[in-house]
Amino acid sequence: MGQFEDKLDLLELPSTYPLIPTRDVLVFPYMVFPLFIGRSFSIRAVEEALDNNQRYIFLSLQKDKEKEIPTKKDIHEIGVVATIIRMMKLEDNRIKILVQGVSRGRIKELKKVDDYYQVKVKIIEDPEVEETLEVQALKHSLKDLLDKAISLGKQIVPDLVEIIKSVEEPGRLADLVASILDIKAEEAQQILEILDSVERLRVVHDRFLKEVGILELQQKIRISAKEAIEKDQREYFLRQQIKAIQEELGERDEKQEEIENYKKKIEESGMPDEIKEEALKQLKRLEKMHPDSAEAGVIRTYLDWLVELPWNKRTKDRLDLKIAKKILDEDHYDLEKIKERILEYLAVLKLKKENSKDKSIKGPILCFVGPPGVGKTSLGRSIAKALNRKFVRISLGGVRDEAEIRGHRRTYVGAMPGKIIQAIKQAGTKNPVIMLDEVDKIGLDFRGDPTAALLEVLDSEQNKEFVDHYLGVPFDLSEVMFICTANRLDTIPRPLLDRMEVIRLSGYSEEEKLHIAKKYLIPKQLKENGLDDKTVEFSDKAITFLIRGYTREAGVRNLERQIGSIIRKIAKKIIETGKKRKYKITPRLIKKFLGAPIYSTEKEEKDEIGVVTGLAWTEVGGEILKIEVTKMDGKGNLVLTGSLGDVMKESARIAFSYVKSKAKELGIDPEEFGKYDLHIHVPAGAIPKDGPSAGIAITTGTASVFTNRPVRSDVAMTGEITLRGKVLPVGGLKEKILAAKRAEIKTVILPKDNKEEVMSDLPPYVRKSMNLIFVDHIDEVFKIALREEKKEVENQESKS
Amino acid sequence: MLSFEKPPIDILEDDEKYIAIIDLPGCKREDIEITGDEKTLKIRALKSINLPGKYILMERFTGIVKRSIRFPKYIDISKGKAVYENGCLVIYIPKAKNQFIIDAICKISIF
Repeated sequence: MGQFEDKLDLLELPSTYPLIPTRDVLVFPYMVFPLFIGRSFSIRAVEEALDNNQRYIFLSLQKDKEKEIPTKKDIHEIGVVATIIRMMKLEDNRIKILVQGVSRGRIKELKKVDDYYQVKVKIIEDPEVEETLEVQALKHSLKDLLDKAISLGKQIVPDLVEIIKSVEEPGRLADLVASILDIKAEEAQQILEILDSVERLRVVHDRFLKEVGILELQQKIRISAKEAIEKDQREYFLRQQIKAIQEELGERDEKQEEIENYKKKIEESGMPDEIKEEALKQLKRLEKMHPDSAEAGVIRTYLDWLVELPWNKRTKDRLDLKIAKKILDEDHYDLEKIKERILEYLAVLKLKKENSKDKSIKGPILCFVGPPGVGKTSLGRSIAKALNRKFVRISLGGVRDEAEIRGHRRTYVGAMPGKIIQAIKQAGTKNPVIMLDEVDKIGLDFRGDPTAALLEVLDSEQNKEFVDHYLGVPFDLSEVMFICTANRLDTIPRPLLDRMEVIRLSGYSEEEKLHIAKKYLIPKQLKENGLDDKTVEFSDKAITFLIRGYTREAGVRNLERQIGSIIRKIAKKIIETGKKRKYKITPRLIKKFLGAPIYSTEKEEKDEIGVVTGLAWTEVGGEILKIEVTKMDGKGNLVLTGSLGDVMKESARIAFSYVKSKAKELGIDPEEFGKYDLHIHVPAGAIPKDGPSAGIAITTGTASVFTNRPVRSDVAMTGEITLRGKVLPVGGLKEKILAAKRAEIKTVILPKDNKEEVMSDLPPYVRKSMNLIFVDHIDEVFKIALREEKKEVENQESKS
Repeated sequence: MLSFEKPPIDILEDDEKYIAIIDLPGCKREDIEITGDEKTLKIRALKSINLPGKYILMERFTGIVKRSIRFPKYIDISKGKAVYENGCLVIYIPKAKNQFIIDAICKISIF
């Protein structure tokens, strides 16, 4: 084949080469490898190799890499003939060459030519070897190991992998594999020096096996470490994913947050353990529920209630009696009895706090009874202020469902706790002052009796464990101070009344009203309307005029309204005129502002036959009653009108009978009774009246009619009558006397048995300004109230 | 045994023949050898044009260039022609009219 083969002969390896001693690297035959050449003799060797157009060099490992200028004995005998594929001079005068190993060689001779080393080399060819089973097995195994090493992450150039796989000669395979082994240069040198290719294959195989083993172990360690990390990471990752999904769906995460929130609140609420248990139980139920279900909503509201109740919160009582008294006095005039009671309570509280370990003090249950506008509700408020407690008002007027007090069971849709628990929540403390307003106006129907529910609330023995139907867990009400208000006691059920300490507030007299107006109402109204006492001044006369002419009440509510109305008018005037001058309120000015007086204070009534001024006690205070009696042709019948109750009807009969029985003493012809019918009317007709206290008035009226003696219109009277003409004591005297005073009636006839009570209850100045006559028997009344007999004719004339 | 290089090749065909064009710069014409049989062509060449002297950069390949081409259809290598010009070797090989087997390795002479 001549021509080309001849050419190849040119490529036959020469016998001398420039030497490059290598440090740290060993190039195997067939291996392509970049080398950096820095030492001048090596650079010269490369230049020489390129210059002589052969491009062969001899690479041999230097035994001691520290040696800059090696001698023969510093260089391994066995090295590699390599061809320079590429060369490049670097800027720092070093050169970079890419070499490919060609063949093993043994240095025969080393000499220095010029300034580089030249070696005479004996080329060592791999001998032909027999393909024994062992060789085959080793080859296969090596190639398998190669795959394994790659799968375990060993980095090998893909081209090289292809080449290795295609190589069959054992020596060459060994060299190629050796070049990829992760070994030190010295170890590589040992492999290089194995000239028997089968032996070399064996060694390389073993070494590669070891490396793969190490790789496997590394992998294993890596994996187990990774697994440990991954497990955590995985969990975290999954959780995050769940969270993300749930967030995307708009559920759960909020729920989780909510549950956490409730848990926190339950812990913070300070509720007793058993209740906490219940709350947590409900919370667990909520957790399992779909957050949008109706039931979940119910539980949520329930939990809200539980956590918001002040299980353990209380305000600190102000135990300073002086300050408490000052506060009470500031807000309310007089009402000494009530203030006294509050201070007593405070004193007990203080003593108990100081001396006893038992800190729980039962709150008293007070009941203020009195006409409207006397300040029952505001008194409650200032009691709370004096005690430094929260004040909550519950209006019981018109409440007729037991559930309003004690709550609905949770099974009902929209169920709520009762008013008591609501009030506690509103107060935010467990020792507030709770005012049960208008207890006398609690209704009653088929839904149960709210007063019965109140019994438990108001019993200081029982309310320690008050169970609201909605909550289902007990709440301690024993520290609550309950104050009830009522206008009258007769509609309050006995058992309920029994639990309360009744304190009566009677109406105010004119003097008291004057005082209240000056001290409380006017300053309050001025403040409310943005004025001060420098702008408006009420004279006493004006206030009295206002009280007399524009109000007729036991309390001061109307009076306050009228004062407010005057002040507003002044405020308007100030704005209109733009001048801020002092306004002195006089009766004239009042007339101008409010028009003519609504109630005439002028006494126009004359003394008449059969018209008696009685006194009545109503829930809005005292009242004067003009009882009318008249006789007409008939057969001695008695007619009673004016919505009279049974007791009042009976006292009318007693009166009639008494007058009949005493006809002789009174100078009446007994025949008269048979000729006339008697009609007794008590105005106003539409208002139901009852009670025995009009007894003496009706008797006087009856006597007046039959004796033709007019009754003095400036005398008022009250008292029960018996058939024997005795005058028995009655109630509500203070209000009645004040009513008489309001009506400008100076003389009041009262039962003697009431004398003590009247004397102690009535303010001295009222007592002094009135002519109070205490009687024992109706005869005395006749003496005082009946004028001298008038002639029939005259009487008739006056009537026509 | 020494390093070798695979030069890039283009192959074209028409009804009659295949045309292969190979980049083979830096060779002497007599250092290129084309042999083949009924379906394959083997191209071998020796790149050995180098200058003596002091190098500062050496990137050109020196050594044996080898390439073999396997055609999809039978070829009539005996009628093949080759031209080496401008560093490119262009080989014209007619497709075989009849299927036959050539025992001997034929050579294509290069012009």
